[in-house]
Amino acid sequence: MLIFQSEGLIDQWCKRNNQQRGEILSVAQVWQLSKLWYHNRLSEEFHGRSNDQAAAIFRQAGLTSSFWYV
Amino acid sequence: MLWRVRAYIYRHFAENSHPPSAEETARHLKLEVRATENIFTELNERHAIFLDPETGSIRMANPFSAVQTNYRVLSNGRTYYANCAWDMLGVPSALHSDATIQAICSETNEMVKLHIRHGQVSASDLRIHFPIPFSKWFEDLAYT
Repeated sequence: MLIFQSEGLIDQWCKRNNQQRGEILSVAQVWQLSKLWYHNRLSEEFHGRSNDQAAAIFRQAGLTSSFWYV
Repeated sequence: MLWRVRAYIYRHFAENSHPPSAEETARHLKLEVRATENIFTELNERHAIFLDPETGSIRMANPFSAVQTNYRVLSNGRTYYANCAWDMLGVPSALHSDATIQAICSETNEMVKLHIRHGQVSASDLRIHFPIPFSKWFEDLAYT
């Protein structure tokens, strides 16, 4: 996942690198996702997560397009 | 023991900004080095960590990176490197700490900054590109 100063620069990068455009999120959206995804990563009780749990996090973060299907 | 090793790797990353070697891990947990290497391999297969395919050392324990990247996170008086633009926000989330993030725009190569304070991220027009659908993330983790 890469960071860009604007959406237009993502299009420019995709064209220059012959890459397809994927999903573009704001920093605020990714921060919300990060809090849900990583908040318990240092816990000894964290043993990975199932696809269902991953899907639930994406839904909670408002990421519902097919891009996020698990 | 598998999850004790995982927890030690993460604790070591958080406290030192870099991962432990198999030897350090074995010494700390009173294990044989060979057995510890086997546990590293099993954690890698479970995607709990990512081993460098050439050296067998820990390359990633998401969100932390063992190698310098374009995503630097200053937090708790330490400098961490994250694996990607998502993980740079994952570091303060995992550490439950304030942070200053210095990253490089992939198109302009200019440095951009973000701040995490009291659980909030600073206002920003920056955008993060997820190029690959989630279902394919683990096909080539280094690229992802």
